[in-house]
Amino acid sequence: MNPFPIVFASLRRHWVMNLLFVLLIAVAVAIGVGITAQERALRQGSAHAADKFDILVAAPGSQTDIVMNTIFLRPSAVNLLEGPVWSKLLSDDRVDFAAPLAFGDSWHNHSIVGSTAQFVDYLSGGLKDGTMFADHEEAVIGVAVPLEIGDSFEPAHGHGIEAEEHHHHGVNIKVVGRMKATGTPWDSAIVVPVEQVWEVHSLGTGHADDEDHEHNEDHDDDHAHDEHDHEHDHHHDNGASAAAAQDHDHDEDHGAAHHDEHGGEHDHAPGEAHDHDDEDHPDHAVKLGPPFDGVDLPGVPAMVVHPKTVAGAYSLRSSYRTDHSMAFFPAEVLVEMYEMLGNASSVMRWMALGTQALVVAAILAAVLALMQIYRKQFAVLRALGAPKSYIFGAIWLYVATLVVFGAAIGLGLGWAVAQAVSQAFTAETGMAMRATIAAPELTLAAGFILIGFALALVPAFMLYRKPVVDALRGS
Amino acid sequence: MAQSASDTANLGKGSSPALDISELSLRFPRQETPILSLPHLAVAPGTILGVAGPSGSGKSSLLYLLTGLLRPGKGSIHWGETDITALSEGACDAWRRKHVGFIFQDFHLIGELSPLENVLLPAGFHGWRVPVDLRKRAADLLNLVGVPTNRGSVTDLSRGEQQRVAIARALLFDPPILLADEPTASLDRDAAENCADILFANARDNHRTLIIVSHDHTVIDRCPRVLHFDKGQLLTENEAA
Repeated sequence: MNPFPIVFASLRRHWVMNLLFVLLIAVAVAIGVGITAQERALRQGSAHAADKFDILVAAPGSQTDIVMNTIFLRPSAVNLLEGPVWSKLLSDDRVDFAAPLAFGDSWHNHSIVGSTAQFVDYLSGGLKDGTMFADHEEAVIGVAVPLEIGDSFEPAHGHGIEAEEHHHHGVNIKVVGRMKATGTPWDSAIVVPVEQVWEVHSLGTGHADDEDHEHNEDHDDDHAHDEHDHEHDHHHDNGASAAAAQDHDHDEDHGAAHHDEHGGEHDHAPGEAHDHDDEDHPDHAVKLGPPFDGVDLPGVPAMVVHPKTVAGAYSLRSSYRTDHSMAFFPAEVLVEMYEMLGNASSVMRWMALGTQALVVAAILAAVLALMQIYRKQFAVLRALGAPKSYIFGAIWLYVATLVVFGAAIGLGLGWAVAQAVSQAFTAETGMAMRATIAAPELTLAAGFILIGFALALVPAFMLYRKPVVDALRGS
Repeated sequence: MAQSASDTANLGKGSSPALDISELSLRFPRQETPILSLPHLAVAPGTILGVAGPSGSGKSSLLYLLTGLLRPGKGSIHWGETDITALSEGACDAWRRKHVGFIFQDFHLIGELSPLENVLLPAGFHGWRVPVDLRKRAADLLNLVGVPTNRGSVTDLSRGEQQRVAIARALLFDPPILLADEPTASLDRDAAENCADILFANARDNHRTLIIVSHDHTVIDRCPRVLHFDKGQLLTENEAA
């Protein structure tokens, strides 16, 4: 028995309607496939973004806010972790390394984050181009930052419209290196020495020698301002009053809930001293990164901690859950977010299933109507000797073909839409997301096909039972 | 499942069975008067039988009864040794597939298929693949009825050509019984005569039973034996000397 000639003929006869059926099925399947593929891409992308953030230590408050600030670089006001608390982390035996993260400034909506060279190395696995920052007013940038090595820029306080109104006038940061791609929002970040962030906000330097030096320089400035031709000193000198004003403004803007660090001097990372610094600063070296031995260490929004061992990680988390700090695994926060996301996507998935059910019902109704048109054709086939099973098979195959084509196209369409949304999301956040078709989507499409196959029995059975002569007389 | 060799090997070798109808009555539900009543009818193998009468006289119902598509309220219809009224639906389908060729007034071809594909359509009832010899027979039949095999679609054909394709389709398995329901009603005079010629020639040359229902006197007049029906009753029976 070969009913395919009749099936193909039926598909060709009402091809517009059949195409509509296929598209309807495709859209219904695509909605479900798109939702599940997109949700998984979001989970994987966010999990990848959090990979390098083993433990976060911050002032007590919202863990979600800290995660959003540190991992996803979505700025919001957070309490500051006190200097004595975070500095203790740097010398903790359980810590492989810890780095402060200081936020608040931006350039053209690219977050400027103050941290250490060690963190940059850890985050991006080294630099793609250029060198690590070795001076306060040097920066390394993510791969998605539209600056070139050698470019300079003026940071602004805050983000967005607010940032445009609060430039740190006179501060020029030079790009000296570019990080390797991380596939995280940090690809859009500009990383500067944490000392620069502190310094530009007139909050000390974090280094005892620098603070002494700074004090001396301030003192000297009163007498011999013009004698110093030093970039750092320059804006610091400017800042003798301006920095205080900036700080004042900043406090007005954010109250007590934002980091404001003030850095003193450049520090050469071990072995990274700049020649010109030596030339410009014959009397001291630029200090960057740990140890931070300043007398009055500024607060920081968060510390990222890489523990030596898994046991150490849990021990650290426990130790730093105090009245003055909170320590947590970002993965735990993400899991909570996924649960919320999961609930939302579960609702969406049910809605998608409802849509699919409606589409199937609508198509079934249309097919039943179409079968009335085909009724006489099948009656003629019966008169020509076609067994009932041939009629049944032809109708079932016809509907099943529509379902299979629709589901296959829907699978591709859903993937394409999820991919497009992922790309738009990546462009927006910098978080690498890649929607893929995996078992859940294939299961969904297969489930739809199986349901379609089952429902295709309805018109097949109905026409199978129709009296042949009634249809033959109906011409 | 491929077409069995025996199916095609027996083409043209079957003999027409005799038809024997007894006490046949067909009525619709809730109707007292039968729409067709036929106390007795015997038709010898290879007979060309015309069935005439006004619309609603029961002509088409008779054809459907003779093929088992319609079940009578009472009576029997024997084709040879087989009482088709006693067959199950499946068995009746199989019997019809093997013994009957059917031709309709409106051809009922599949417009999306070529003439050859239309002729070969009943082959799909039997098996998955069409045997080469059956394909050759289909092409030969199209040549016989004068329809080019190279046409893309039957919709490209004239109405006369389309009916000739339908005749070729009915003859694919060389059935011993050929039933035609108003085969010339929608054709012009020349096409009608041409189609009638083909049907009569096939019946005469191959000793096949042809039962032809028609309003067309030029067709009915060519039948050696004619039944005239009115209001479901057999009024007269004419037989050529």
